[in-house]
Amino acid sequence: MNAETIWPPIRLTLELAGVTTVFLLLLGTPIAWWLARTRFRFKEAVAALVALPLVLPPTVLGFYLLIALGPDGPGGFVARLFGGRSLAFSFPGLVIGSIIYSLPFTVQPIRSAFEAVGDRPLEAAATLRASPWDAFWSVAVPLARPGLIAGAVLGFAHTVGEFGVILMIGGNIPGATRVLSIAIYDHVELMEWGTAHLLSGSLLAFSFVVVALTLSLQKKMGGRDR
Amino acid sequence: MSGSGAALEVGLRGAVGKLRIEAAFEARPGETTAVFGPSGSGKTTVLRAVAGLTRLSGRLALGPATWQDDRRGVFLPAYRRRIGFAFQEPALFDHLSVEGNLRYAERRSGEPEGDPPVSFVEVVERLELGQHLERVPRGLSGGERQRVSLARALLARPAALLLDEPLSGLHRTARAAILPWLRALGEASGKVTLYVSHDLGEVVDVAHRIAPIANGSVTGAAAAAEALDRLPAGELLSRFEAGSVLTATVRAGLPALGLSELDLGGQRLRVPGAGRPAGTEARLRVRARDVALATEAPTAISIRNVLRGSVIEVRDLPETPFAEVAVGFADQRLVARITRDAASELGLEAGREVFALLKTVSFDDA
Repeated sequence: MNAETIWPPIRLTLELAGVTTVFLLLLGTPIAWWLARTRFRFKEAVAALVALPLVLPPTVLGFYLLIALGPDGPGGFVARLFGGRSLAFSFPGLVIGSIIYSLPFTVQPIRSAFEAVGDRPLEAAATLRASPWDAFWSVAVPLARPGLIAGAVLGFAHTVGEFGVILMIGGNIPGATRVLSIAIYDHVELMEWGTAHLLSGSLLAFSFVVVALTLSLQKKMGGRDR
Repeated sequence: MSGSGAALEVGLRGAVGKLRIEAAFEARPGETTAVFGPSGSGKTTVLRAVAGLTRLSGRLALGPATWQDDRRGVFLPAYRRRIGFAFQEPALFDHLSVEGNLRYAERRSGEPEGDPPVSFVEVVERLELGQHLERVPRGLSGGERQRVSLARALLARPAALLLDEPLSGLHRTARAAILPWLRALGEASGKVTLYVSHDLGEVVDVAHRIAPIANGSVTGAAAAAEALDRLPAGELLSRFEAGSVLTATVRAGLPALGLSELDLGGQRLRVPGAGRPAGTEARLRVRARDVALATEAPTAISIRNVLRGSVIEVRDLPETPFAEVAVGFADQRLVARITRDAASELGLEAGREVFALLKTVSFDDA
């Protein structure tokens, strides 16, 4: 057990989850807003598409991502623009995979929070000459804040814990794609029980804190409606 | 009344659910126009359409500013109309304090356009919100929430103030304090005020003009007294209380009797309720069914209030045994509801001198 084998996967995992969470909020918030507000007839089909990673085996998702990110997919095309060959087995590839994999965990609580806000406060804002953009930031976002926090926390935590998708599209490259969950798997394979215990125990504690935090936030959000 | 304001012209039609809406009326600047009708008559829909929150078809303009004109493809969204809106269920922002709610409106209200802007301090004082500024909306009572909502609408510096039963949660005394102020505020600023209500007392207190609405149809506004005379008959009579409003001057209080003596164009009235300063003006409400008519001066009867006037018109109420008789005294008028049988037996017709016996008269703000 030494610092050089323990810290790089932790640092990489936090980096990946942090970057992913930023993108999840940037992408998930407008999707959640649209799903909460639109009268588009097939919006539940869109919602199902977003929620798909909840039920899909990570290996299936990972397999399609591997193809999409690889040299012959759109990921490969993008990679060539930057002088690479493929987005698979790279940090940006992991971020893309994580965003798709964790999107439902971010979108769902934010959508629920926007739905709970309802039409009325937004109408009131409009009668006070707040443009839709103004009303979104000055009314909808503050009212939905617990949902936004819950979405960010869940997206972050879910990314920290992912395994299957990362194994498929990232492999196990130390310092580049070897995240915490994969490191634990390796330590177990190598019978390094002590290190596996330490990392697993830390993840256990981390997960508990996250879940407790989210639940208390959602309880607070539920109280808002009364 | 400052002449700076512009009239609101409403010409809208459409259907919401099963209700067909037809709204054609004008609301004048500096005046409060009450859209008055029973619940379910489409009042709120019309108000929301004026605000741009509900879409009907037609044309809508505030003076030179066209808010909607379907023929030209113009539809200004709500946030680009100079309105203030108080919802019946106050839609306060729960994430802001009371003061935060008011400042939200004030910050977005733009530059005052020559109107004497109503100040934050005055609004807070008149609506008695001073001690609530730091509180959050969720902790407020229904009446307090409505006052905040009204204050917020006023602070938006509207050119058209749109109020949907804004005081329904308040006690009658609190309402009676606010309504005259609201009326005066509209007069002073020259803005249009549309006041939606099903409460006759409220309408009488606040409205210069009344636009009656029934079954989604509102087709004109008339001066309050005249409109009250002409309230629709038949089925609506049971829901509307047809009646008249008289303005009289207090001569003296008679505390021992619990009465006030009033002067109405040289004639005397005694009305329950003492304690009004002499010389002040009072608005009185008389229900049409509380008025009896006689062609000779009655003697030896219990009714104390008898006014002498002349018949202006007799109007039969279709599909009922009743007729409404409008009686004029000086420049005021009173409506009596009597049977058609009685009207013809007494030979009532325009110009005939009559004595109106007022069984019950009450101060309008009592």
